[in-house]
Amino acid sequence: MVKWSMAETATLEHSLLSEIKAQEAGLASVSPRLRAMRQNAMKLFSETGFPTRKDEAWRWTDLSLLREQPHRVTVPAADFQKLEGAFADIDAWRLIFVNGVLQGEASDLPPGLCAQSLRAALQDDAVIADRLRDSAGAPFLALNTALLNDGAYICVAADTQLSKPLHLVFFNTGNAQIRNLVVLEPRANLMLFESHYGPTGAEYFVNNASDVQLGEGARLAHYRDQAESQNALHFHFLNARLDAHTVYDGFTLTRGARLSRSEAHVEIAGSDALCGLNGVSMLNGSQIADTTCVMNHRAPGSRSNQMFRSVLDGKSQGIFQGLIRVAKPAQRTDATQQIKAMLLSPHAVQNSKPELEIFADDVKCAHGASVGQLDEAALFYLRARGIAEAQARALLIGAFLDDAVSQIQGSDALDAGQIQLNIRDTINTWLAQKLVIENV
Amino acid sequence: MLEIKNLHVSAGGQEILRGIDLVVKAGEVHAIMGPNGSGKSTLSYILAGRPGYEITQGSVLYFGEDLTAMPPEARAAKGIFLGFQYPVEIPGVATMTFLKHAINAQRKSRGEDELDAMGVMKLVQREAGKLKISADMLKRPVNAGFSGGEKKRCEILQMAVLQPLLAVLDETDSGLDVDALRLVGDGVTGLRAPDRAMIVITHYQRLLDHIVPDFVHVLAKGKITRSGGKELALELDREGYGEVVNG
Repeated sequence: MVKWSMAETATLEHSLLSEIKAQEAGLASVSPRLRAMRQNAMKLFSETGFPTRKDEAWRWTDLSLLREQPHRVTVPAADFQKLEGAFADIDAWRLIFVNGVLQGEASDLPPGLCAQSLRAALQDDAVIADRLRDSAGAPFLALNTALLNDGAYICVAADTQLSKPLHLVFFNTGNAQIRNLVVLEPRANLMLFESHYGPTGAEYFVNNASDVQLGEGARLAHYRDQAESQNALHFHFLNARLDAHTVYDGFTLTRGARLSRSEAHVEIAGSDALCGLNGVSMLNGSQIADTTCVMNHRAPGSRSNQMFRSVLDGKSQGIFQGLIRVAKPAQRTDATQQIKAMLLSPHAVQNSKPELEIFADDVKCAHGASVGQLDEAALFYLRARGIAEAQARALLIGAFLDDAVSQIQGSDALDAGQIQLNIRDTINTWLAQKLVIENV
Repeated sequence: MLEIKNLHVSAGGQEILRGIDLVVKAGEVHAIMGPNGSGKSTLSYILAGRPGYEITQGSVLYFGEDLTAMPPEARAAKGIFLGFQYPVEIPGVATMTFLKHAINAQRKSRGEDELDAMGVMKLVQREAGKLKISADMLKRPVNAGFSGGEKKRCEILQMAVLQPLLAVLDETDSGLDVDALRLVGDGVTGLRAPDRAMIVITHYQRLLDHIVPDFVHVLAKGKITRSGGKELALELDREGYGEVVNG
């Protein structure tokens, strides 16, 4: 059951600006470092508000909905319901957040792993604030910092290998500004899952930001399942910094929210790092999903790989913007970016903008973006062998998306096969539901 | 089994078949020969149900039922098999997975129990051995990166495991060298059965040395211009299509 608040007519932007004003006074009680940072962010967001399509980074993603239309919020029913989504059955340590607020402490955490509320961590140790990225030029990050509700603070001590994954569960029913800080000390190894979802039909706005810092030789497997309510607005800003010999293996499954943006800024600051930023989007109805990646190679000998696959049905819109920037010192960089979208309906739209900026001379960069349809010849071939049309379509779409799913590397905490299987099951369920609707 | 009457077919506004009559009975092998562009492949697609063709006149009955009203998968379940001239590559779908889907989709539609992975594996491996198809090939995506000969052998493998009642083989000999031709020819011949009919579409007599037909038809400009026994194929091979088509 979803209850609506009474006669809410203010726009989202307006209500957020009011909230900023209301919170400004309360900042006196936080540490001077955090106060300065949040005051600055409040100023930044209050000056600019949400970006418009005149801003190059937002040319395809229209936020007028946030600026101009009355915003309704479900009354925050702060009860966690149940584990759902692609990672629900994985054996993991779990932190459960409702609207960004941690529900109880995690129990039985092993030595070397700290996983707690970021708000609590900032109170205990003000220096932690220095690890949060400055929000200049990033309006959503500024908003997140300005109103910072809570989120997770995760720190893995040097040389710690964890025997199972850590799972952050974000159950949302109302607006939240969620901030996570993930610090892996040298040679630490962590597998981190994130699930984002809410009650069916709930309307809310969630603005996530994650700061990820990998010390030399550290390894983070980071897999996200974005399955927000079909009426939700979901934003995610990842800011990752990779030192030498690190491995970051990222995968995002995007299937929820009415409007979403998953933005990643990776800074490869050390040599011989390996970064995978991969994902699958499955959209229908009038969903809009934006994936924006900026891969900054600043040190020599590193590799980055971006493989995105999306299927779009109904009147949905997909946006992909990807920039690979190779600075002068980043010789012997090997960077690839491969974006493919499949349109399942004549009304679906995909906009892709791959970009390269290369200042080093000894590099290998390959990028490509394509938009296509289901291969009718292949469809007929399968049907001629007796496979029903719906199943044949599901088989072909699943195979197309699998290019990205198969990039998932896994680790000793959980092997790639199991994770890929979970994601394939979720994809197949989505395809089956879609095809059921089509056949009604 | 199959009764085609006065069949006229158009595609993209152009008439391709202009009045085909053909009767095929269980156990028979019919060869359809003819020059390029005569409508041979169109006939095979009409039987298998490929979208994009319009039947403007005539009828196609299969065991007395109107075939043209059925979707391709229903035809397959009722025993129609098309061996493709150009088998389609399907990246990302392993051949064995594809075969399992196909076998079980057909079984399910006939109300039979589905086979488990082991049952499918046994069935496929038995037939694959005869066609010299390796276990490695079965793990690879359907037709992706297969040579011409491998693709055609894989078509015959599918026919062998799906056990159709009416097999339409569209230029199964194209792109095959002598050894592959023998392998495919023997494979097809091994599948001849009293309750199974075949329509073998080909340009050349050479495939018919391996698969000996009961009837040979010449298709030219969308019509069957001559029909006869296996000796007609030899005559065509000797004298070319010119005489037959124009005569």
